[in-house]
Amino acid sequence: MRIKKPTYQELKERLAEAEAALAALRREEVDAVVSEQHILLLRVKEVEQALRESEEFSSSLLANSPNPIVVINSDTSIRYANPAMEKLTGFSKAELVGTKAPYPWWTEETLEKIHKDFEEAVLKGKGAYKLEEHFQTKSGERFFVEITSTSVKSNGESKYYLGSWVDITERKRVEEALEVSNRFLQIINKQMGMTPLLKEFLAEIHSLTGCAALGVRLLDDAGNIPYHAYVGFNQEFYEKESPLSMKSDQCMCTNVIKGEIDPALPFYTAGGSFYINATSRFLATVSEREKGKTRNECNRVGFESVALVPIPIGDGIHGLVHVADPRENMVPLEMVELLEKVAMQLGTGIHRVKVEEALQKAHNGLEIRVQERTAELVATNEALRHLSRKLLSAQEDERRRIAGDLHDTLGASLAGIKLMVENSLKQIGDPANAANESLNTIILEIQEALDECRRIQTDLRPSMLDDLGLLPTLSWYFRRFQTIYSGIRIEQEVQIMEDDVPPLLKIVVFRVTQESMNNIAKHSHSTLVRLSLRKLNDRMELILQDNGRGFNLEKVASQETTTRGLGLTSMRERTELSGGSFNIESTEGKGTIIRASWPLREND
Amino acid sequence: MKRSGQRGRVEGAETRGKACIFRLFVAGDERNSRQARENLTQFCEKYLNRRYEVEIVDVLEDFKSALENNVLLTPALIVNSHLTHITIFGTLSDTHKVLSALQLTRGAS
Repeated sequence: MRIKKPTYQELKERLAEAEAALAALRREEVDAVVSEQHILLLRVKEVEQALRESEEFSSSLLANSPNPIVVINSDTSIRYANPAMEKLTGFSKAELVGTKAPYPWWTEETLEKIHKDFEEAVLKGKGAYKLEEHFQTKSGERFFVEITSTSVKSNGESKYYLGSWVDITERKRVEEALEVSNRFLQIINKQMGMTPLLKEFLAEIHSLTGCAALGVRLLDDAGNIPYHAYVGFNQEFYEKESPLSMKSDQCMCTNVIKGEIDPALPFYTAGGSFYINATSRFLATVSEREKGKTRNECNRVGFESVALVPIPIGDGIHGLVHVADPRENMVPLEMVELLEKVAMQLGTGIHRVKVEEALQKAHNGLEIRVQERTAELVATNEALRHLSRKLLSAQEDERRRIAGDLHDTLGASLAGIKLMVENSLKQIGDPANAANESLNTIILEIQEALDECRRIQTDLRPSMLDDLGLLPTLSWYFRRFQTIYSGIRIEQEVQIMEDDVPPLLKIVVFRVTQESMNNIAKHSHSTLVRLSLRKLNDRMELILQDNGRGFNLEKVASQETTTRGLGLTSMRERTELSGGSFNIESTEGKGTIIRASWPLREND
Repeated sequence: MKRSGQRGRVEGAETRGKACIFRLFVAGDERNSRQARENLTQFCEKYLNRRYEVEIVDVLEDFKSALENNVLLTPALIVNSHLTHITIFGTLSDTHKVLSALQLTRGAS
């Protein structure tokens, strides 16, 4: 096939056409390129417009984001920083863009950690992850941020790093404050006295503030505000400052405790604290007349940072926490506000300790009074026991004397009269004499009087107890008892030697036995009495058991004090006063057992 | 597929008496193609007083016509008159160029 050659004119026209097509392309007035294979749509403007809109949208999102956002190139230079970033850090976009790591917001003390985190997040191109950092603003203020870092990749390589920050400074402060508060609460709640409480408190304040000198002043009843605990103040300062009085001295300490503060002044807080972070520079701006109003001792000894934080207890201020340091800016406002919270806790702790001390004092006073009263009672009881012993002894002596007198006087007189009457009867000699009968009757009367006299004498004090001892006296007593009360059988079991019975106990054993036998004879309706007197180890034991009708112990005991009763109290007293123990068991219808025992050694 | 111009300007009985015949190649309703259509309509109404015929060819539906007429770009206007046969590319915003093609420059000025 032969192809027709174009003419010059045709070539010229085609060239013109091609130029026109090219011009249209340049003018961007072409929509499509047509070929046999496909139609290529050209949408340059639309794409550009969409791209521009997309960029505007993204840029607007970043710019209007309330969170600071930074975009960093792979060479660590800052590509973009949004207005929130500028606001938080204090650095302008112009200052930031192009800056490479280390960035101006990094802090010296955390540089190592930040570098490590940064390497992980940016240089190693790790995926999105969160971390918390501690940075500083252009003016040096610290802040905390939570960073969500994202690596933006292109063709598998990290192209940008996008860091989205959330300012968590306030949250961190609250967390820190809570942690501090918890630590102080633990101290306050420990059960300890004032001195250890204040010492532990100051140690924690030292760890919190890093300040070199700390003290706690407490207001006393005399209006003085001495330091109850301190660290870091030299002896001269302590001796000069501790005796301050609310009545006679004027300084910031007294102002704070009196609550005489003006929160409008820059060195007072709304919570009533005084604080200053550059005393020398501040005093340089104050006139001598103004300076004269306070003592300025802290500045004189070189403290540049000073905080005086009131300790509230109840409705009043009862002291203050004194924090001082030779360096400037050691007690910023937020630290003072934190100290105000812990000082409030300290106030609660001090109040608790004071209450406990007062309670302890009252308790101790009560204890002493109880001890005194107990001692008085013991002494009184001892005196009473002594008196009782003396009384019983006097009673026995008196009985012995009366018995002796009866024997020596009345007995002797009666015996003499009887002898005289008998002599008179012999002199008459005549059995039929009428006087004989009368005289014999008189002799019988005198004999009866003599017998009665002897019986009274024996009841008062059987002389054989002193002359022969306890065991023969008991035998004689039982023999005589049975001649009177023949219906009551007596079984004796004596397992003790006369020499083993302490002399002072002989009359006691006899009287207890005598009283018991009298009760048995008068009230028990017994037919059998068992007596056991024996030596058991180092004790002497007396048991008297009857098979009578018994009695109600409580009822009888209640009558003992008001009526004559059974003499149980008397038996118990005699036994206990002589160092022994006394016990009685009785059940109605089942007889009575009396047990008395004495230690033998003490009475030997 | 051939499509007649807007407003029913293709009327076979009158065609022979028309001053010129236009074939406008467009790509659907793309921005430049739409612009070219509008500009051509305005031009015709202003200068040709119904003595014209417009055929609009959508290359998205009929690309072969474009290739047959050596039209490789859209929008493209082929102008046929007793005086000339010329192809104009673009949106036809330059009225002067179209008038030149129709050799009506003087009348337009």
